[in-house]
Amino acid sequence: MSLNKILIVDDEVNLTKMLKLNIEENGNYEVRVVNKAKQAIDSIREFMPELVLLDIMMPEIQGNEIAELIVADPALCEIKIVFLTALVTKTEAPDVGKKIAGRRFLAKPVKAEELLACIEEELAT
Amino acid sequence: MSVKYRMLIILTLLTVASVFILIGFFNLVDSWKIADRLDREGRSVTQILAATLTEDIKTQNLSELEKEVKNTVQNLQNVSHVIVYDKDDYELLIWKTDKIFNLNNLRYFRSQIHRGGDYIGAVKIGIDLRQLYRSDAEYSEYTQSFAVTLLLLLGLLIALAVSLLLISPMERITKNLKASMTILEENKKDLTDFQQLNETVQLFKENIKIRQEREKETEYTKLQLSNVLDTVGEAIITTNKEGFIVMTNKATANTWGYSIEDLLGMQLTELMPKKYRKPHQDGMKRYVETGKAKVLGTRLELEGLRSDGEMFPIDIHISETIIADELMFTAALRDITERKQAENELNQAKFKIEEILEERTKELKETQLQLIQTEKLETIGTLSAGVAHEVKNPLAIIQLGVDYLNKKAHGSPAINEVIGEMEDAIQRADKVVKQLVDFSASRDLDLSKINVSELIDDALGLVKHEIVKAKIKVNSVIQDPNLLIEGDRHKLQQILINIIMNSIQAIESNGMIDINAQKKKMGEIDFDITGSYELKGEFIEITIEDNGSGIPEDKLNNIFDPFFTTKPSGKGTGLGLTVVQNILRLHKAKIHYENKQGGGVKVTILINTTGD
Repeated sequence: MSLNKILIVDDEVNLTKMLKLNIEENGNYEVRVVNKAKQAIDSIREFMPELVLLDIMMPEIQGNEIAELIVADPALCEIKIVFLTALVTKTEAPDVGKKIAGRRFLAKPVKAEELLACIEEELAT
Repeated sequence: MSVKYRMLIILTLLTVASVFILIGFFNLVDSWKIADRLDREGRSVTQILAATLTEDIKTQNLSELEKEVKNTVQNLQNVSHVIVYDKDDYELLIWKTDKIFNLNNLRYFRSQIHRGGDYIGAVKIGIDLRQLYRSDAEYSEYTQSFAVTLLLLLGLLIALAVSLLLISPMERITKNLKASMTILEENKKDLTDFQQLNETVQLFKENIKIRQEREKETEYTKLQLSNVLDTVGEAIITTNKEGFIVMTNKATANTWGYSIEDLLGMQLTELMPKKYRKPHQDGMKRYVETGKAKVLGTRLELEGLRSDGEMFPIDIHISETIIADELMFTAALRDITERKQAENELNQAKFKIEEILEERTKELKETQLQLIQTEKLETIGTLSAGVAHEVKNPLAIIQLGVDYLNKKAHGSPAINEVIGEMEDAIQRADKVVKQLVDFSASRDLDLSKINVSELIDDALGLVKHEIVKAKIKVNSVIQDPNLLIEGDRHKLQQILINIIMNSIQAIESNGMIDINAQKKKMGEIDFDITGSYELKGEFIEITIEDNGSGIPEDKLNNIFDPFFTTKPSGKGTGLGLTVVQNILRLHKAKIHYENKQGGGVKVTILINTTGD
């Protein structure tokens, strides 16, 4: 059986490195990282992951915009999305919340356990 | 004219004159009698009174004194008033009859009272001498007519003698011959007599006329004076040196509620309250004796006493005059009730304005403080949002790094210990960042109607674990389950948790936390809530009391300051209560902290109710 593919999109290189380390440590996932938001959609189309771990606040394109593109594309709309964000305040999040209704949120700093539990839950549905 | 006729005329005149003489004589005798009687009466009444009153004067028993005086003199027609003096010659009692009398007709009788050789007082009685005066006046008229008549009579007697002694014998001798001659002669004589009489009568009439005119003039002057006095708005009172009112005007009567007739003869002191009487009498006495006056010529403010007992403020100006060689005092008085009232109102208004000013200043100061605080908080808010974002990413990296290392360490105790401490540090940093974010986010409220009882239960539910761990007994019995407020459920929960967590941390042993909520009104709050203008008439009071260590009194004013904490280093961020206050301020609510007697803290939150 092939490993579940997970794509991590975040402009913070060190963070993506740590996320990758922890997820791969689990042994059930194949993880790829994108640090440039602009390349995110291309990478998704190419890699076709089961789940995208998406940072919201990034330069160039916001995480929620990428999510919109995924949802809008019939070829990609089955891909699960988990947001990973430092933005937890209402003033910054309401619009995002609306457009990504039903999507999971993980607030930074997230613990490895929580992260993996969340991924497992999402993939199980 | 025959001798018979002349005789007849003379006899008639004689009879008339005799009648006049008799009337005049009796009147004269009568008036002497009256004067004598009054004099005796006056003296004896004075002496009797003096004897009767000795004991009461000595003891200064005023009511007895008054009773005695009344009993003794009230049936005596001519007694107008009685004054009883004590040994210092101060008036102990002034009794006055209801009858109207004129002061000019008064005669005073004074009897000193000695006891065991000591002078203990005196009684002075005024007797109305109108009767006597009238008699005197009549007497003088009678005396005049008596004199005239006497003269007439003398003339007629001589005429009679001449006619009888000389003319009648001649008549008898030359009866017929000289009859006409005699008649002629007699007629001539008659004519002379009557001319003289006429002149006298004329003179007498003129005298009367002049006198009447003078009286008329005096009357006119009096009338004019009283008219002038009545036109003056001020009350004007003239007293003699004994203090009796001898002249006054309408304004006085109106102001004090007496009639002018009542006022005449009253003591000036009767128009003032008791406390002013003695100083006034002292002053008068001193002035009469030494010529030194404190009040003459100056304006004074004191009080008047109306006939109905009401006291009122007056303004008085006293001057002295000498009228007909007698020292008199004239006082011009004004009822200054209205002026005083206006003054009072002005003072009150001033006081009120000062009060308002003080209140406003206080409000302004408070607003200024709040502004400074708000500004401070806004800066922190803006800053913290940025900081939070920038700190969270590195924190996430460290967290995930630590998690990874933990898995790779494979149970080495030394590494586990290091990792444990790093975990703690991350938690702490995360907590600070979370509160900073909460803080920056606390300006926006998600309003809904909230049941207070449920709110408290939910908050308690969220800290249940901590409460159980600290073995704290919580009493939260809300009597009224239907208390409603409008607010941000999540944020209000957050502040309740914050306050309860503070209590839990402050409790050392046998912990108790009492939570209560009830409706309250403005007057029922015993701490200062000035400046809480957004609280409406009725609001909800939520109290959270613990039996913990309390807050040092000198720190109570700082507990809401950002980054202020009394907790050990690393245990508190110093932002908890700042956030609490900020959130409550957004809810237009008020929070108050106080140390309880016997230890512990009582937190009171006042928040508007939505009604039903």
